[in-house]
Amino acid sequence: MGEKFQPFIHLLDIPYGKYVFDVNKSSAIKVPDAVYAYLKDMTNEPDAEVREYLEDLRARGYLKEKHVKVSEHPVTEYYHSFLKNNLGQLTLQVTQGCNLKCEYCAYSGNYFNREHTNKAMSFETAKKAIDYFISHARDSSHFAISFYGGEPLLEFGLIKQCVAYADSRAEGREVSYNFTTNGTLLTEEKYDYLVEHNFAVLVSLDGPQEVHDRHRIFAGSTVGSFQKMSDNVKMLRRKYPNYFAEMVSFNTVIDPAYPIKAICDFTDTDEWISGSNILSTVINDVQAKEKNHYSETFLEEYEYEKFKVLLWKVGRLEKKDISPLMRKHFTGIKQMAAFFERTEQNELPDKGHRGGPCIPGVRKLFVDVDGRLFPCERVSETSEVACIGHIDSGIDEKKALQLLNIERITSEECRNCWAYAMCSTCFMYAEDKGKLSRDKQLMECQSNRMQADKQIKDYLVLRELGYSGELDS
Amino acid sequence: MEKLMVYPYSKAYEPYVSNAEVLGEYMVTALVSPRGWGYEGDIIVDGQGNRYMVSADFTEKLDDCTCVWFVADDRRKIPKELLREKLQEAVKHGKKILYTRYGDDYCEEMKQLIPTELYIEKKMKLETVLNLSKDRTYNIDTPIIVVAGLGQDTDKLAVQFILMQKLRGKGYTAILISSRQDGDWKGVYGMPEFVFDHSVGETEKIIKLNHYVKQIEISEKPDVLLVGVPGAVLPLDGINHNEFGILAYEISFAVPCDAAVICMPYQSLFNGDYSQLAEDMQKRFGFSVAGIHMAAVVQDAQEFYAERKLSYVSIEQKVVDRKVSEICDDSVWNIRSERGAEKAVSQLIDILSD
Ligand code: SF4
Ligand code: SF4
Repeated sequence: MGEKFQPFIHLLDIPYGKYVFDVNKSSAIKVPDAVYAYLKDMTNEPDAEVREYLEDLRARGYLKEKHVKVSEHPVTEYYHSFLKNNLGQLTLQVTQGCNLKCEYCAYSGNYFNREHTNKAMSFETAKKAIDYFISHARDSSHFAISFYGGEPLLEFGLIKQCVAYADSRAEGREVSYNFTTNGTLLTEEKYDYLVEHNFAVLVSLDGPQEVHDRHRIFAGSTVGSFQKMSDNVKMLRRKYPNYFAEMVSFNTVIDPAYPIKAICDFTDTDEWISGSNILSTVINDVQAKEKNHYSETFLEEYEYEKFKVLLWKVGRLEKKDISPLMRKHFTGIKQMAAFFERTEQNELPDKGHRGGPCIPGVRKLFVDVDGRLFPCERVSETSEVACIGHIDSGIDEKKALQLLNIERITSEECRNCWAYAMCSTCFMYAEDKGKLSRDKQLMECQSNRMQADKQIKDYLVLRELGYSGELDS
Repeated sequence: MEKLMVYPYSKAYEPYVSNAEVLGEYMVTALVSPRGWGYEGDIIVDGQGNRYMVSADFTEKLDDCTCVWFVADDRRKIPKELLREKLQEAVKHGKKILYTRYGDDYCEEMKQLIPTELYIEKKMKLETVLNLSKDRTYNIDTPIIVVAGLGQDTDKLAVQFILMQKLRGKGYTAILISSRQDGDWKGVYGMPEFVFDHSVGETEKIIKLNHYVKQIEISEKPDVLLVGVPGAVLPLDGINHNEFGILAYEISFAVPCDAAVICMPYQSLFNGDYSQLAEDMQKRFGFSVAGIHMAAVVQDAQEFYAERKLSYVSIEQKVVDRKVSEICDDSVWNIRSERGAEKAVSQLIDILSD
């Protein structure tokens, strides 16, 4: 084992032992301290015992030095067929307008993105998009249409037209409909319709009134929207309790500048949301003109709440001890569990692509009010690279393939990066004033790797304590 | 000649169109698919170069046919009400009905809607040529080619049809017991219902299937039998278990296998080395793998990692052709191409003659 031996690995030290994450095998294996110490600096010759251990690992296929040689996403060679056959979700931006003006909204003017306008989608454009969807989804097991805004309920009439059209055109398929709303425009008449068409509804709710109204205020005023939204939602719950339980959930955007405890207490105790599914995210600042400010209290409370989730997962706390707001805060580790609990691979392929990007225009397709096509609703609508076509001309495959193969802008770095498979950034992180920037992408790498490192460690600790991803359904 | 409409048409029924000879006295005149399935406007070409355009207009196409074949595709659900509506419409227009959606739990309810004079039972009569003992299996002396798949949607039926036709073209009497329950056609027996019936015990199933094949052997006196294995032969993981290949296991006791063709989805990393798979097939089922057919579908890896569910996406034949010629191995084929089919059949004949 000479000096040149450079296994493609990442070392992890957790309280329960020392681990090697083997990039080729996509597997984490516990090793004795002496082996770990040798692999850490690899300057001195290993002693006989370590050498024997390493030989054994190599015989079992670990510690290979292989790296991907060519950056190419595996779907590249049949991307055209994926586009043609596998679209699963169409998101229609029915309006760019909103009756609220939330500070952290991607369209508030605080982001490198478009701002709210009065534009609405025409029914003609919506019809073309629905026809496109139907003719590009034959192999897809999903068939969902989402309505997006602004506030989609401002265009309730258009939504109804779209549903009637999709139902008539999608004969033989079950279409699922959904939208996200600020809840202020929900009315009784709309409830009946939503129930009849079994809409999944995601209501934005940031916490108790004083928290919610901090950001979610009616446009052109200083009046918060909590009262109106909660009155409407309570009425819906009263009128259709079963539908509410099954189809209505909440999305909480957390502002890290403030403590989180008040939000947790609210979701724990407030009756009208009890038992509901609550998703939560910290304000997304990827395209923001100013980055988030994290207060110390927030960080302390947030980490504590997340730690409680881990304790719940290993049976040290009960579900009831965990705030509903935090219960979903386990996705990252669950993904890690799925990653490690699936079949090991033998080695990295010659041609490959890091994790992160979706297949643009395939699982999801976002159509803006003007019929322009984007991979999803989260990307900047003003970005030249993000726009992958128009509903009149279809997807520009060349542009889409560039986004699919985003690794190519940082090929060298990625192919040598231990977090290759678990990287979670897409082109959105590299987008800079309408172009793909290698430098901007690389600025994300450190935090990306730190996050991967933390998630593997959390997962390994849980695994040591008896956690199993497949039993955690 | 009955003029046949296939409804609800999907890719799973394309082999019946491109190998129209198996339909015997039936001639496809209309392919109708629910509009939401996305097949409308597709052109399917049969062996003679005739072109069929998939329509979504059931009513209009009814005029072109004398018989409607209601087919089933496990991958595509059709709402019961829509099916009932179309069935009633066909009956109202006096069309004969072939109904092979045996897997639906409302199959009998639908069949009740078909007047006896319109209902066609698509079953060949097998004379009871022997008084077979109920508690033993019998030797099958005819050479048998087994066609099995590593996943759903891997062209199994097309491969069975193509091999059968090619063998017949070379002067052999080839009879197929197909992997599907689509009724019996010219030289094709459907997989019998009891094979899928959970109330039939495993031993009984094996013996009955053996007897079924034995009877076919005796009454048809074929030179070669092809047997299609329903479902997939191997579990992928605990979630995508493919029923653990149980049917393949049972079939392997019911009929011997002289050569097996394994259909697999396209894999860009596949280098032609299937020795591990061949060993597995031999050990588990006694299938001696003669070769691999690569189908123009790929596993949707993102869907698999996101939802742990296996699904397949169709890709272009040219991607498979490219791969097969790159691998350049006499036992890795794209049987859907003329060249691949010829190669596979001559290879199989060599094996069976040995
Ligand atoms: S955020 Fe990026 S990876 Fe995710 S769906 Fe949107 S474009 Fe795709
Ligand atoms: S963290 Fe950076 S270098 Fe590593 S794979 Fe992701 S983008 Fe590439």
